Amino acid sequence: MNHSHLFQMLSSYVDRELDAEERSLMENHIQKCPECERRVAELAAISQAVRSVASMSLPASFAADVLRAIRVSADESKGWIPAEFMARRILVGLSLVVLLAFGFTSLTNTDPPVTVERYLRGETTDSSESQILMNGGEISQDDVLLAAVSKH
Amino acid sequence: MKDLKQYEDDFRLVRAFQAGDEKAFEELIRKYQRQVANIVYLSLGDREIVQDLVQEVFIRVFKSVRYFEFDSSFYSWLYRITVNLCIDEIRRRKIKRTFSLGFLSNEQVDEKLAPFEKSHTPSDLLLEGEKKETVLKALQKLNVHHRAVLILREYDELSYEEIAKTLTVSIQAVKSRIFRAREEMRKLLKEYFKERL
Repeated sequence: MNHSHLFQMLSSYVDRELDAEERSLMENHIQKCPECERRVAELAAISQAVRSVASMSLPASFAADVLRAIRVSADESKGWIPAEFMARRILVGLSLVVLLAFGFTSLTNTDPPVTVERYLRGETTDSSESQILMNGGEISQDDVLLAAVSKH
Repeated sequence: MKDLKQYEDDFRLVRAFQAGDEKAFEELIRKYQRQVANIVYLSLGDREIVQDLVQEVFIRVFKSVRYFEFDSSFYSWLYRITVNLCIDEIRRRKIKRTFSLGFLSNEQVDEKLAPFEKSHTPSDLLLEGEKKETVLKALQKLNVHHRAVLILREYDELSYEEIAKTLTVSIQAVKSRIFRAREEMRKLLKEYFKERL
């Protein structure tokens, strides 16, 4: 086993992450190898150094301050309408206006009912032809026969 | 490695908070605020920003805790949020520094960086406070992913398995990152070791 691989195992050794067999192998090696013994001491010093730096503590009121900040942010967002919701509201409003206008036009249209007979005689206008389609007007068999008789 | 009691205790508090008990959330903050503050401090090396970032971590926890599914420990989940926030902040600062240094001449840049480089000379290692500063600056020089695993291991003493779950990487990746982080630290703290060993 080369030293580069051993150094990697040493890192796991100091963290107690080796299995029993690997651990005993490493312990035997460290006893005989001054370089690895020095490495173990360095790794322990790194751990100790990192821990000694971690000295931050927060005020006793910190938890209450966080909750206060959360409440303030929740209150602020209550009075604020995001752009997406605003756009949605405008679209719904416009759709209602279009539907109402269409309904009103349909109610006030005074054109006589369209029949096939009138259509074949050429008595209909473009708007009344579309009206029959829009209103879902039905053409009966009698309409067709009557139109055919009157044409000839 | 944390014990089973801590797992259960955290789950009890999370469940209580999910059911609407705000006091339970306050207790979770109190329990973990020191650990989170030190992870942020070791990651960024800036005492001034710690409180704001820890607050941001707990606000994120507050907003998303209803989605916590109890399939991992609470602290793994909390540390993941903390580490991700720190990585975002480190990247944001790097971009900012690149832009601010972009307008300086080479001499001006050297001048700005001199105090940091100087802190690695033996004379600067004399005072305890400065020694800590040296260790902190060495940490800041590590790659962000190496830094995160080293902090979780050395400061919080998480096992490789716990670190792997926290950072959602493999145990092999944790092992390799810890080794590399330590190798870098050894080189950066050469003078520190001369005095200590």
